[in-house]
Amino acid sequence: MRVDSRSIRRWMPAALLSIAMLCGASAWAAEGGGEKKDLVLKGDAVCTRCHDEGEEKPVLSIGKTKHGTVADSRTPTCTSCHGESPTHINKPEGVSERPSPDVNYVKDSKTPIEKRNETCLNCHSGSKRMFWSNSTHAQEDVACTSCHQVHTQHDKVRDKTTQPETCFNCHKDKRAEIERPSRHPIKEGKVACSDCHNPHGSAGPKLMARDSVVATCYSCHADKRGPFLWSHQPVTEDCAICHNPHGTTTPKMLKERVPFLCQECHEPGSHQGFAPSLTPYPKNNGMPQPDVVVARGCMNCHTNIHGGSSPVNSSGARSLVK
Amino acid sequence: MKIRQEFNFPLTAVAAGLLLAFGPAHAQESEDVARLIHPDSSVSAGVGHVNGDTGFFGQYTGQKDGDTDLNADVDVNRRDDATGTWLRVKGRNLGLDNRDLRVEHERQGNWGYFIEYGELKRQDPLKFITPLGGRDSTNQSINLLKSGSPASEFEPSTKRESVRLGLDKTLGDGLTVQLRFRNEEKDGTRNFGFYNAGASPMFISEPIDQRTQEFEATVGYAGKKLQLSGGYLGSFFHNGNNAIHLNANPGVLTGYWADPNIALAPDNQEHGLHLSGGYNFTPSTRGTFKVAYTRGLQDDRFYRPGITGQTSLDGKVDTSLVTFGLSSRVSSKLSLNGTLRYEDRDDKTPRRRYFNVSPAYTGSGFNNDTSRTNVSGKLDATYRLPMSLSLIGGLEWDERTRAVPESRSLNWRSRTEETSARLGLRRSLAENLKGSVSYVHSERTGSSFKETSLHKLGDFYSFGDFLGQTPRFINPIHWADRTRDKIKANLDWAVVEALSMQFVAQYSHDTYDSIGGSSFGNDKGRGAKYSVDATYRLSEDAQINAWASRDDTRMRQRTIMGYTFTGPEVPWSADLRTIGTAAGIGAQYRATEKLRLDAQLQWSYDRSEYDMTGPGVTSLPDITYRHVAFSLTADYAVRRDAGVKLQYVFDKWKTNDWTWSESIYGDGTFLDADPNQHTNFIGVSAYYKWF
Repeated sequence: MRVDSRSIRRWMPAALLSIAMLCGASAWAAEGGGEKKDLVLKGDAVCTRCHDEGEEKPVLSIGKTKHGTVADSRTPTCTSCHGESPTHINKPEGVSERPSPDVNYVKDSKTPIEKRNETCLNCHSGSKRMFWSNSTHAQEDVACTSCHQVHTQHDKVRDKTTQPETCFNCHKDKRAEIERPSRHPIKEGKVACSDCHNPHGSAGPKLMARDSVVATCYSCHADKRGPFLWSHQPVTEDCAICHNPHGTTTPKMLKERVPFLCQECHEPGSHQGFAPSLTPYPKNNGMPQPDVVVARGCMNCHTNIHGGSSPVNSSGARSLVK
Repeated sequence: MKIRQEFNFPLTAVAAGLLLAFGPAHAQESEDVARLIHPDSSVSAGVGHVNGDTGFFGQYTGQKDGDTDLNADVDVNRRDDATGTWLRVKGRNLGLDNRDLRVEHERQGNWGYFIEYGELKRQDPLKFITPLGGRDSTNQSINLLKSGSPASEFEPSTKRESVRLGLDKTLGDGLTVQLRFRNEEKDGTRNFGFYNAGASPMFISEPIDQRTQEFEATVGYAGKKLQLSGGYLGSFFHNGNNAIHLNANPGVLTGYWADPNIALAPDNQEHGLHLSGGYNFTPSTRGTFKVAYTRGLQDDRFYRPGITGQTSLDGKVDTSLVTFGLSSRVSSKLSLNGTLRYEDRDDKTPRRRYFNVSPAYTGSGFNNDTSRTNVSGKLDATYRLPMSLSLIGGLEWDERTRAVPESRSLNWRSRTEETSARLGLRRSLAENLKGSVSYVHSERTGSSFKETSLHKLGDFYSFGDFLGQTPRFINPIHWADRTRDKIKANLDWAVVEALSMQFVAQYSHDTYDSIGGSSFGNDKGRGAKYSVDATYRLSEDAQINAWASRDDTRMRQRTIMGYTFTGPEVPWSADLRTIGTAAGIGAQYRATEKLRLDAQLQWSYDRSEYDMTGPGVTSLPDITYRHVAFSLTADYAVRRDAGVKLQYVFDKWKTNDWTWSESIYGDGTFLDADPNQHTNFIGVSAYYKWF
């Protein structure tokens, strides 16, 4: 049979186009229309066939995170955290709404919070999360995912600049306090809640990052640690007796303006009972005085209020004026 | 040629067709997916300009009126997928005085290290006009403005520069090692004072030249049932300035305070060992513990020897900590949680006499023993009820025992104990209405008070008793007998899918008992806090949120004037009240595919009231602070991976705070501060992202 080369030339492009389309289609079928490949985690194809980034619950960004670093043999799979979820993957007959995964972390999840947290604690129970089970947050039924976003590269609560927003979701009084003029640089992202508190539980009170309030404060303010020759008792017991570290309208984050603050402890045996006044009076005659309230207040004279180290032969040194 | 042309054209068309049909789609899809699953990076650079008063606005950024700063942020995250090796570089505010830079290299699950550098400038919002000489040094000259000494502006500020290093290694079988080192240098000045006996205080400056170093080594083990963590933490503080030495013309510094030196914070160090652990006895029962031992030392050389030749304190304080915790889900409905904590501060510093005593003084001349023991325990129970409700109950107990100094300048209590009971109801796991309400009742009491004493005239003499006058005892606020009632409620309500609201309310009431029938001291305290939040999603592209909060705390206290004992006694009281009201509203709007807008407006008003009453006593004026902050950010994505941001911030403060409004300093130092501050900031930056 004689083949007309002109005819071949005519049909060849169409044939090639057809073959190409078939190849493309089969490739598409292999990747998207049929068996899907895992995209990030081992076995995630069964999930990512639906949960791509255009879906209501996107999941792929887990790949940007430590949980998506598959070279680390400890990296979980989708089912490590969400359970096998057979009815979620294959919707049972006669069910109108697809059942949720076995372990679900959304806001209105029916999965008990303890069970949700257990998933995280399976891997994250040592180190700084050692005391989670005894923490106030655990007892208040706070879910790990109430604070942490797992499927995102930028977990807000792990970023100093955005962390307070997460904490303020519950601790609303602190949101107003950090805006006050006497405060730590929390708004500027230089101090975060977790610099002082360990939200995962600690051996200290108030979820303090270290074993006590004073030990936590001394980590940045070691000049207040002493021991001093002349000590001021609250400095060794609890800084929060005098200070509100979240912010106040009183200088030095004091909880109350001096002399009122000092008068909450000091008996008026000497000058300690002076009423403050903005009108200058002669001194030492039992009348209201300005220098206990103006400028540094009591600390105009008792300048080493956190403790003194003067060995001078004078009882005044003990009064923290030296 | 014709044939080739005929043949050539259709092949090109096929190729183009293939590319059109699949090539770009594949390329696009793979890039889209890669963009979604690989860590991204970004860099931004820009310029910002500030004008106006920056006392409050620039407190922690170092920005001042008229400043134009170049600024940059960088966030690089690279991962080698084959090995799981990360390189992260994160820099923030690189052009400002509060910059941060961190470089981290890690093979996940194997090893990692980082280096971090940070700066923080704290600019005192106060500007002083002072004749003080040598204000940046330890040798300062007190000059008198009234004697014609020239004065100049002094704006104290401090700057912290820190470097952190870290090293992590996973050893396998659950073992990890972690090393941390931090070095922080703090320099600058802050306002200080000097008591000039019988005369007005003098303004001086505290020169700061401090270094804090911390070294921490931790070994951790994490198994399925047992987790352990133990290590060493060393902290070292060094002060380059030992004391301030004051100079003045003869007669300026008076009385027995004429020793013109003020000691500064001494060098000190702390060495601590710790071991903590957790054990899962069953899937529903876990026990935890921590034991720690810390030795604090302070043997910095005195700026002058003591009266018996002491050259340093030889300070030594040992702190021991032991805690145990147990939590268990006893049944499907009942959970129990208990902790026990023991902390002992043992002050082993030698007691020596540092000054010769005076009969009419409360001091003995000896340094005090600051030992203290704190034992506390807590037991909580949660019982699950139908309808997603849980009943919560708890008991807490706290006992503190303190060493009592031989002679005291206030009423001292060797032991206090506080017991609290809590009852509450919580609803969680509900679809649209969650919340809790709880009530706590606490009682604090303790041993008898040991009153202020006069050395040599016998122990435990109140000034009042001693002089045959009415006792004037004050119950120190953290030791006083106290009854506290506190109620707290919160509600999280998803009104409709697009609208959610939160309500929080808290009220507490404290009653303090007096000592020995004294009519002075702390009387009653009260605190109330309320807040409401709402978030409303208008559409896929727009959301607004708003909040308002108010807190109101009160404290009623009484004391008495009578410095010389022979003069009239003037009892007076103060009903202290601080009221804070704040509100905010924010909106996020995606105006177009490329343009996103974010606006935030915040307002607050804080008022402190003093309500003082008593013969000859005039109440201090209220102090108010008003603050308005507005920010608008526009983010225009020029391309998918690049864009421009424009930011405008308006910050306004208004106060009548009189704290520094009058000069009480003997040298004449006064303050120059604007009670009304307006600040404008405008910045523009360009960013680029990649993955």
